[in-house]
Amino acid sequence: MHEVSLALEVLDLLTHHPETAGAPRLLNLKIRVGALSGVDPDALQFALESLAEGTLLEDAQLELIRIPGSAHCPACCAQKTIEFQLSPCPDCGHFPLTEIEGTDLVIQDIEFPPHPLNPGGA
Amino acid sequence: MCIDCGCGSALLAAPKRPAGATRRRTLEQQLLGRNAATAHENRSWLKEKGIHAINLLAGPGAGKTTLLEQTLIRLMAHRPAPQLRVIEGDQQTSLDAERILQTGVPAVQINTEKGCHLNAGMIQTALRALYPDTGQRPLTEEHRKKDSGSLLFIENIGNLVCPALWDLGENAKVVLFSVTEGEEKPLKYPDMFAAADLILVSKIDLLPHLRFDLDRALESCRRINPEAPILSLSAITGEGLTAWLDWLLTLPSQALPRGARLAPGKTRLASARFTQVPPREADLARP
Repeated sequence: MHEVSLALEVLDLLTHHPETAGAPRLLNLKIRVGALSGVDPDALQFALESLAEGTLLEDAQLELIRIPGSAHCPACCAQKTIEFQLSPCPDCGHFPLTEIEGTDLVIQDIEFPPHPLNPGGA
Repeated sequence: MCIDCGCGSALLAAPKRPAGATRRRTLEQQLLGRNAATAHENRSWLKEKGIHAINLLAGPGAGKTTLLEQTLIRLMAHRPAPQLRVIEGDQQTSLDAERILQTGVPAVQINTEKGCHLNAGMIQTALRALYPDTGQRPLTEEHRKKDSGSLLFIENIGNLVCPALWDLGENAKVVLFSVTEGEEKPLKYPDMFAAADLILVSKIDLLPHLRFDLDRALESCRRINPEAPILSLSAITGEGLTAWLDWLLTLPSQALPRGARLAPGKTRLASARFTQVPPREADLARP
């Protein structure tokens, strides 16, 4: 549900970011979405595609990179896949787990088309 | 030397990109970074003023406003009474803020219109309206005394999904679910319950009429959030309210399981509309 708000935030951040301010359009946008971020990557992609028209994302390829949720269980001494941040160990029930990964919600990188004044390179 | 015109500029002599090359830039920009920054400002401001903010979260119809009304009435009767303020969040209408004003506690209403959650920017605007005395001016000792022992309740939008993600700068997240919603609510909406500093099971006066297994509900909460205390209560009969009031009154001295620890970010929704319901003269005069 909140993915539309997040898509608006992506557009606003890109519009005002020093790297992208004034850029007519982007070729590619990569966003890392962790399984523990509370964000549905499919819904975010749909929201971005729906809002892209007339923005710098209009022609951009959107890549949502899914990061699985994982954490270290000190009792099992192993890395475990978890589904939410405050999970106990799925195998032995130990709590709390440490070194939790997969909470990312990050605009990773962007790609610009060839410069219009340099379409054929040197 | 410049390879184009021989002007000697090293800058211009830089090799050009190959034909049709695209440019890639690494941003590593936290999507909720701006909300996190505003939430941090709110948190610092509240701390400086000695105000403890409680983000009250639940699905629609769990009994947030009714519980809040009963809570405020009892807190006002408590001695010494803490200073009380309320921020009401709804998509539309100022009905809830009007209900709160009936209790005599100053309140402002935020209407998010299309938005499904409150964000830190909305709270910042609301704080300026609710605490005009202390606005942006330096704090005097008199203000500090006046605002110490203050409780600010933020009733979030009725929604068990989205508000979990937006840090407002609050001290504590209190998640409420009613016995009419079913025992598995925490399992179905784990993000919200995982973020809670306190879980309330409401409307327990209805238990005799329902097939609701309170033990199973508590077990659901524990599976998602083993640390947060759980209280069951009824705003109608008053059962369980004492423990809830004790938790609130001792909030300043509590080490909370998370609240400020899980701190995501902010979205300034362009469409968010802010309406202040003016407190009545008599309410403002209240200490």
